[in-house]
Amino acid sequence: MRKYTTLAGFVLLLAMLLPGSASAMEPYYTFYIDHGTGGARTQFYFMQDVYTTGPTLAGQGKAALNGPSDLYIAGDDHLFVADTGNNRIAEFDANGSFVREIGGKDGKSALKAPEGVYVTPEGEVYVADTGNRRIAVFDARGRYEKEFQKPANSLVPKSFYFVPVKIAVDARGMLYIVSKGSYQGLVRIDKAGQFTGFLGGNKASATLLDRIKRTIFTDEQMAQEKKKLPPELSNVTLDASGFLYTTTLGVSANQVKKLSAGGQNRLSGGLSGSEQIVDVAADARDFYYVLDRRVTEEDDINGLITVFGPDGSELFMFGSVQKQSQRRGVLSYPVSIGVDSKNRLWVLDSDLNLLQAYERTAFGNAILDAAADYYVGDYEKGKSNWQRVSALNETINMTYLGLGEAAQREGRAEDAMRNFKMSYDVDGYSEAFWTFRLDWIQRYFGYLVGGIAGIWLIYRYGIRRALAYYRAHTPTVLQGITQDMRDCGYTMLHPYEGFYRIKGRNVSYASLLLVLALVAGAKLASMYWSGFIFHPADLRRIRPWTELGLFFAPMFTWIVANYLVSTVKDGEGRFREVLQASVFALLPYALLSIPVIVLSNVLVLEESILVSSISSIMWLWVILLFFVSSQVIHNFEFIENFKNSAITLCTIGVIWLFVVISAGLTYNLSDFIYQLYKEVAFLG
Amino acid sequence: MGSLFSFRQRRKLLIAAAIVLAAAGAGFYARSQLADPVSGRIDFDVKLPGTAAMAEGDAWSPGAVDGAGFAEAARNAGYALGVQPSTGQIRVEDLRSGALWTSNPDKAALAKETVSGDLRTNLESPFVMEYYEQASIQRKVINSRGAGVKWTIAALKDGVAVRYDLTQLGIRFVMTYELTANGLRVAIPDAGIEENGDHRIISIEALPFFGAAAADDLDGYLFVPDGTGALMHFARGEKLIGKGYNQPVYGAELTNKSAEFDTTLPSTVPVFGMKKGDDAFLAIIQGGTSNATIRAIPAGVVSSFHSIDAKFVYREEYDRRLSLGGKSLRVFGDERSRQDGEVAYSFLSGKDANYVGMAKRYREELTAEGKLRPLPPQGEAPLELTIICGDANKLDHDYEAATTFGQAEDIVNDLKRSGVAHARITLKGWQKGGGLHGSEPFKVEQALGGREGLQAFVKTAHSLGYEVVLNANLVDADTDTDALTPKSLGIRSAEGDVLLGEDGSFLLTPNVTYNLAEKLVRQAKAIGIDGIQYDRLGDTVFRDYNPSYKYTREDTAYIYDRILDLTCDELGYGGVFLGNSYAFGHADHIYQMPDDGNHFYSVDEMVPFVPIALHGSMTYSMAPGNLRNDAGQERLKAIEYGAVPAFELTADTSRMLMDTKTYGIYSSRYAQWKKQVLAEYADMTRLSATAGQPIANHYSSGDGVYVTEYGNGVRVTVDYNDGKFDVQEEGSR
Repeated sequence: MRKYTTLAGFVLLLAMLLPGSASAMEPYYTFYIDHGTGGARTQFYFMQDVYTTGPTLAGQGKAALNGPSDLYIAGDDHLFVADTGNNRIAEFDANGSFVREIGGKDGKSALKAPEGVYVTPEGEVYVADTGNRRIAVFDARGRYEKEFQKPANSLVPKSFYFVPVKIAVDARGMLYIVSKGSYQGLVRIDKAGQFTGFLGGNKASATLLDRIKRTIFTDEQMAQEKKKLPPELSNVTLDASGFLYTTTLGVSANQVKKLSAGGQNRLSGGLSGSEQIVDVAADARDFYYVLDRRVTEEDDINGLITVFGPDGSELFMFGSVQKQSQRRGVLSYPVSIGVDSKNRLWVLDSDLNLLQAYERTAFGNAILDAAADYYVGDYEKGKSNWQRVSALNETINMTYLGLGEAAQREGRAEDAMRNFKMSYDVDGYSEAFWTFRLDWIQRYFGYLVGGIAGIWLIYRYGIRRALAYYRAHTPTVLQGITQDMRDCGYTMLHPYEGFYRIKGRNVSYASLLLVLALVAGAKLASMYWSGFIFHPADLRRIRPWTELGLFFAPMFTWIVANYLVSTVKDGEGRFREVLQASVFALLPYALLSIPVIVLSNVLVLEESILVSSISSIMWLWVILLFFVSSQVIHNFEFIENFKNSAITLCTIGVIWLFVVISAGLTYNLSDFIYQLYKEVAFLG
Repeated sequence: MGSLFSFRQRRKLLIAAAIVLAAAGAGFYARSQLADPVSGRIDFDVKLPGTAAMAEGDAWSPGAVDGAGFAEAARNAGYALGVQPSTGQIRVEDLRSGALWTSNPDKAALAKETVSGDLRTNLESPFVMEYYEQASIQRKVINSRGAGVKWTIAALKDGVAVRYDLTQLGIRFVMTYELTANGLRVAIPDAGIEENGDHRIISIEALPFFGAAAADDLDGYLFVPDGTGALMHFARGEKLIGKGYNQPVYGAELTNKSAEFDTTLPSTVPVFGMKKGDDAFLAIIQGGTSNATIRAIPAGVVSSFHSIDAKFVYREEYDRRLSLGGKSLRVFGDERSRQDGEVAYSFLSGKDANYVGMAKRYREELTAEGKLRPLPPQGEAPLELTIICGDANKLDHDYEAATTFGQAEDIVNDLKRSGVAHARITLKGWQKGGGLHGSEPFKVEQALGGREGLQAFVKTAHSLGYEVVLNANLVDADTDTDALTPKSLGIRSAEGDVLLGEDGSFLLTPNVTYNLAEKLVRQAKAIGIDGIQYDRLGDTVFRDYNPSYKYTREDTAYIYDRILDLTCDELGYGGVFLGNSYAFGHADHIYQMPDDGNHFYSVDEMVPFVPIALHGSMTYSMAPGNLRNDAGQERLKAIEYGAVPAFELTADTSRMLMDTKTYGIYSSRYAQWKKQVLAEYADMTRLSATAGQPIANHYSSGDGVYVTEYGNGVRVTVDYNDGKFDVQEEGSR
């Protein structure tokens, strides 16, 4: 399976049965695809079926298909199949019984290897008659009506070959045709047969190398380069609201586009992975179903069909494609997908010559109904559906998005917050928190004022007095550290003076460790105690040691690099001095982190400027202190120090580069040792 | 001078380094030898009694041949065996019904056959052998019509032995045919196999076309053990897709590393059958079972006949690595599996000639072997409730407690108050860290309440009249989290290396599993646990190529049965998943018996073959009520098939299990499912008259309506159209 986290590796042992999957009815798994907002990663979660295998249509005799290419489901749920190998269009009723075939034996009505079919609400059948390079139109009773040939128009390039493979016809009678080998996009022809332009063509993808070539190559050289043509469109589907879905084969981004009448793509990003997206079907509520032809390899998730929400987010994935399909529901070369009015999905397989239906389960209906209400913003109506969903599946995060919105509408801010937190929806959480905070302040304003006053009183008469007492009666053991801490604080506000004070004397290691401990504590606190709005992460995913290592690594490289550079550049500072000054320079981080953490817990997303500006100030302060420390310790001129600091930064880069390169070069050695260890320890 | 000095220095350094390294190595080696307090040593003999000595007989002199060319070779009360001396084909006559079963289609039927070559001659042969030439990897096929194939026929007490000599290949083997009280036994004794040349046997199919039905023989079906049993009807409304049914008994072998992306549920019982008109046969693979593959081929795939047979595999194919870089070569294992391949055909006629008759015949056979015993009469099966305690998440390896022992006590108390009289509570994920870590299988997770908490729970459950069972997986291990070393404890592949998954998972050698189970059982007994539910023991068998064990699948199954026996003796109850047939008679209950087949294109219908064979002798449950794909359908199916309701629940939300190895528990909160539990318990009470009763009949009485009849005359009618079921006692008919 693709290296996804939830099911990582039972690859080898997959054939061994998981007790948990003994009840698996279908020859494929269904996954929920979870996208959290704000930093949460996409994950796949195993779930019960949303679609189960329905009837299989593999007719014999007249109903037998031969290398079919396209499927269209008409309003009455009749299935029209472009039966390429049999040179006809085959029609089946909603139950899969053969109704009739369209396409005569000879003359104008004869079809030759048709690859596309579309049926208008009036029952007119438009056929992409690929072999005859035309669009053939039949009336509702299957009689030949007319044809559209290659449009004769000055706008159509001379070299253009009209090889229609897929077709859609909108309510105005405008034809949208996919023509094989045409990179310009959909061919648009109006009902009078007039060419009205190309639509939705892909752009040629230029790599960095291509761009460099274009700037430095001569025209002659460019002419010798292989011309980069944009990938051609492979399929077109018209949805109920008049949007056109197009697919492109052989690309791994923007495989599916949703085009408006003007040709703008309404989807951004889209799905990742497969380069073999062959078709899209859209239902009446704008959910769409993407058909992927890619063969399920050992390390893939099953992914024949992916269900998308109207906003273009992936929701579920199910089905499987295998080279040799032995099991009903597993396909071998799917080419086309359609959805009927009862939400049944039909997939046409060109290799097995069959139509396979997938029926939506009761659970699938519940969750897609709920999702539909969510996308149109009808949160109250969605609530009962989401509750039904959560009774059957508590692990789908989208449920909590829906329930959160509903709770928000009903003014249950705390419920809303809990739900949004579960679904990692920062925007929703922030809104709910705003309500909650307002309510809290209104209710507890008195306590709030009292609390602040109390804190001030404690500070004024408790802490301050205690500090004063401590200062007056510092135990001899702690006198050194206390003095160092005072110097450290002083340095923060008076850097030149402060760094000069510690120059030439050794600050005790205990003091340095204390400052570092404060900083590390602040870092950990900011990871674990920051508010959800500013740090939406699963706390269990935090690796504290790695994080701390990454945090301190730059600082220690700075110390080493700065010392090395300054030694060469006649700086006065000893290593110890560089070390202690650099540690002192980190104090603003430890101190300013406290307000940042506190504020991140009480502010909402709109007020984030406050948090971000304090952090900016904090970092500027730290950088400034580093800069000043370098100047004072080495007794440089300002400009000299500036140069020196720049060189230090370069040195840091060089050190890291060195580390990376030597790790790379010794990789073989370390890998050899590891393999040897494994051989000895495990494999014997 | 300076360089010399430094050289000396360096030499010392080098020597010192070498000493340190050697010491470290020795220490490491010693540690690896000492690290495993659990050993692979067991105190019983695993190797099954060797293969049977072959019955020798004098040359058979055929008497007069009848019109079809058969001469009678043996006869008993029910059957007569005829042999065609010219071809080696055989024929069994059912003396009661008059039905004739031949090993191959007759001349008239073959006249219409259109295929040619090997596929054609296979149709006339009593065997089909796959072989390869050493140093080659190409599979070749030979049958009795192949070049240089000779045979002699010897008479046995109840039949004949046909000795085949494949002179050009240097291979000899014997097929024996003997009449039994129920029909015919066909065997390929190991003692009769000789491989003297450069050719080696891969597999032998015995009687590949026994009773083969012509395509136009429309009334009948092939019976295959897919799911709980399934039918492939001769009549085909649709175009044929796929290659039929071709499944190894108990699933594919893992140690040859050929497992592909596959979710196919393995077949659990070594049986197959055919119904043709008013007659039928059931074939039970009685020898070489776990190396057999059942092949059911509908007409149109290789010939115009519907055929079904068992293929005995003698050598497994596997990848042999040629370099570290991943280059590998497909080769066959050197050593031949020692096995007496044996298929017992039972003939059925009249009203028994269907899948119900086949299942009953199988039940009789299992009962005769002592594997099934009728359950004690008053034993109403308890409700099966699994409580998932929790598991360690994969992010920071913290234990996520979904149900503490305290919460589990609340659940059972509540169940009792709600009227559930009898329940068996299985705890899952109760071990420290959620599973086996190291050599102590009985370490209780502290976050749940520890050993004391568990003890308190057992006490509470017992006071309510409930039983407490622990779930344990003592087969799967993990190099990341376990202190168990794969080198000494893991099974080895056909290549000889440890079978290690990409994620570091491996499988424990059956001996180790046995020793762990022994420890677990002993310690669980001390606190009053009533039984163990084992993952894997009933659903997976594999070989172990470790040279000190060399276990076959049969050996593994044998050790697993010993574990189950030990558990039943000490604690009184052992449960397994899926229910491979070797566990019959050793386990008390089967969990998650499949309620659906594998959806093979050529398989038409699922039937309750295994339930008919087992009901009344063993209890079983199907998919947990809260984890069904299709809640209504699967609930009814469990009732139709006589399964005990089962649930897998937690006290808290199952969301916390999402990132653990116990993923995919999408809904399990007790509070949410209590109503459903009670409803299904009420169903069970309605069905209590069927408890402990054998299933006498099963049929469809209308579209979507199925009737299951029990031994005491109780009929359960399940109607999938309106989602209801009805129980009728005999008197109320």
